[in-house]
Amino acid sequence: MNKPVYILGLSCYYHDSACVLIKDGEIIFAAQEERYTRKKQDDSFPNEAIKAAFEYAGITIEDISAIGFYEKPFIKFFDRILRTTFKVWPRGLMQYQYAMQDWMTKKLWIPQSIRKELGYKGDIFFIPHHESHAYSSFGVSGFDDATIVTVDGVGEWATATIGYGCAEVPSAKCQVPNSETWNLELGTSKPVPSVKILKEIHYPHSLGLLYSAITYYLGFKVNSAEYKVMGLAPYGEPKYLEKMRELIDVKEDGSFALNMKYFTYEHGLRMTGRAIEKLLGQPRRKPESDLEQFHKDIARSLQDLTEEVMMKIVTYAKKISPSDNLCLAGGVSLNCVANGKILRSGLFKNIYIQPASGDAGGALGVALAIWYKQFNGAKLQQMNHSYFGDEFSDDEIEKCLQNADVPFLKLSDEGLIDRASTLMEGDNVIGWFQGRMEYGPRALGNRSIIADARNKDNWKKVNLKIKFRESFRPFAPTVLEERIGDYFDLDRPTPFMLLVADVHPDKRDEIPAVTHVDGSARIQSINREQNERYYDLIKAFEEKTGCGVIINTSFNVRGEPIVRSPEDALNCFLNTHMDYLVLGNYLLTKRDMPEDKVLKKKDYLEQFELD
Amino acid sequence: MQCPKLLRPLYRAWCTFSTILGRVMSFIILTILWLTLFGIYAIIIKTISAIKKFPSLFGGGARGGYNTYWVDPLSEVPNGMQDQF
Repeated sequence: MNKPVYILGLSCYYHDSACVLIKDGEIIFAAQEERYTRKKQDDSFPNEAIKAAFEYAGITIEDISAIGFYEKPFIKFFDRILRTTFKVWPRGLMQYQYAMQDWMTKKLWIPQSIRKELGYKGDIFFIPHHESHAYSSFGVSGFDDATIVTVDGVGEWATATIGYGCAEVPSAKCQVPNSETWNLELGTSKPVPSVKILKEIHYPHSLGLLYSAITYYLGFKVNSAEYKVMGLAPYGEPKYLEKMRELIDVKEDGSFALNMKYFTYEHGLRMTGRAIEKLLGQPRRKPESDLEQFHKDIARSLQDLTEEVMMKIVTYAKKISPSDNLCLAGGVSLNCVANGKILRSGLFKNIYIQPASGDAGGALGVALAIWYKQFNGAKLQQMNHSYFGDEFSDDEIEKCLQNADVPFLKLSDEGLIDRASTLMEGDNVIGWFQGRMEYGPRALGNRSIIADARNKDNWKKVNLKIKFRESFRPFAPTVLEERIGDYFDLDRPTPFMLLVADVHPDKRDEIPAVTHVDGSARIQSINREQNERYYDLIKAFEEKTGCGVIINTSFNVRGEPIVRSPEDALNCFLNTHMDYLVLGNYLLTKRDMPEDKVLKKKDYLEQFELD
Repeated sequence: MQCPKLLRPLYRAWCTFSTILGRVMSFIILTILWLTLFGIYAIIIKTISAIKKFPSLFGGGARGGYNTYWVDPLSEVPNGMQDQF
């Protein structure tokens, strides 16, 4: 019997480190390090995630055939960072100090770190950052060919790319329609996906960094709170759109250049300076201070600008690498409002967006690139769920509950669904912890806080009393896949909560807790194959209430990584105003909890840095 | 080898001191490099750039006069997946 091929993909040392383990072309484990270290967007070497992956697969480092790193560190340092340092000199001393110490001690020693941390002696591979993103989407899209667009902050030099993906066999060449041909180096009769990057936009000109810079200007945390700006935008009007055009020169083909006099990230430790404050007319908002209409209008203007640029990029991408299919990845692809607009434009018949579109997804991308390029591996089926992380058995959960000395009730499978769906009616908020943890930034029904979408008060309750976050933040709905069309202006499944569409006007009053102020919703659809228990829960809720939609938000408080283990879930439950907790088949009721164990909220929240 | 219990505070103090000293020394050395090697090289490059009148290499304001900002990707090194560049 042939030894299986295990490939480990890694991303780390920038933000959101992660590992992905694939076995003979099948994703068997994927998780972000933050879930283990409980430090949001932890960038450290993903030791704990790797340990969990090996434990899950029942292997050791000796079984690994190849390890991949999600970018090319030498290009990044010796080319981009040093050249930028020369460019901005004599400014940028402090950034240079930080960068040098970071690179000299960690980032220039990736192979050494991998070998030292893991005791690994085999091959280590590197692919460019945006190629990792491209593979992370096209490689699991299931498409035979696709236009690929990746947009993020920055990789080595590239900040946005257009590519073409192809998985045709048995010919030994892939061809971008109407133009380029490249060798696949196949030698097999299996379809092997291959990606060719055709065009790039280079640093410092970056749509992702523009979004981050305005996020910073609005007083939110960079590389973390961009989604808040997206959620804030519908409260505003695009009054500053014309002023923002001063920040960026956008060509008809979607290419763009930033006006660097308004940005300080090339040489400073901040994203923006006084020039942008002068342009927009107000100083930077202090974090945690009140949000005024001005900030909402800025968010809206930025969002409109981003959508406009993204639309131009995908239109041009379709022109130079035509396909009916579009694959998106990179941090900007988490902008689900822009994604929804691209979908509605009708430019592409099918769109696939990698759920871990940020840097964590790079770990998957490089693992797939190795599988396809080095092992001529067969094409993976479409990744239509993201449940690739840790799971805990009922025994483990029971042990945790006994150790914590809290009262609980064990229910049968059917009893659990019936009870939880009944409890969800009205104003109860439930922590829902089941099965394998999600990979990527979204909780999709296994590490979720759920509630009745028909009750508008739940919006406020979950934001302020459970998540302790800003009141403007909207909640996403999970809808039974077969009922998407009944509620939303959307004609296809969206399992990763990456598309925004309008709620039908006649349904907005029925599900007010998940209808944003502009009548839109960031939708997650679910079918039984993706997640049996979560589907059954919503189905049971629908049978009782007639409503096939519930609130789904991540199981955490503000600044906390999504819970990983029963212990994390129990801690979060005890220290918030959540009413019930369902851990596997176990049900915990807040009012039954011993008084000395509940609501030490302050201590709990202080552990996590606000985002 | 385990540090005797009695010497542990001394060991911790020495380690803290060495960490701080390391940071200070790194800062000083890197600053000297910044002022000398980096400075000289940056001035040379900026001068050449000015002579060649090729401002796009060094950014600055929004770049005018271009029809597109798309560029071709860096050329791929054959079998370069094992390389960090």
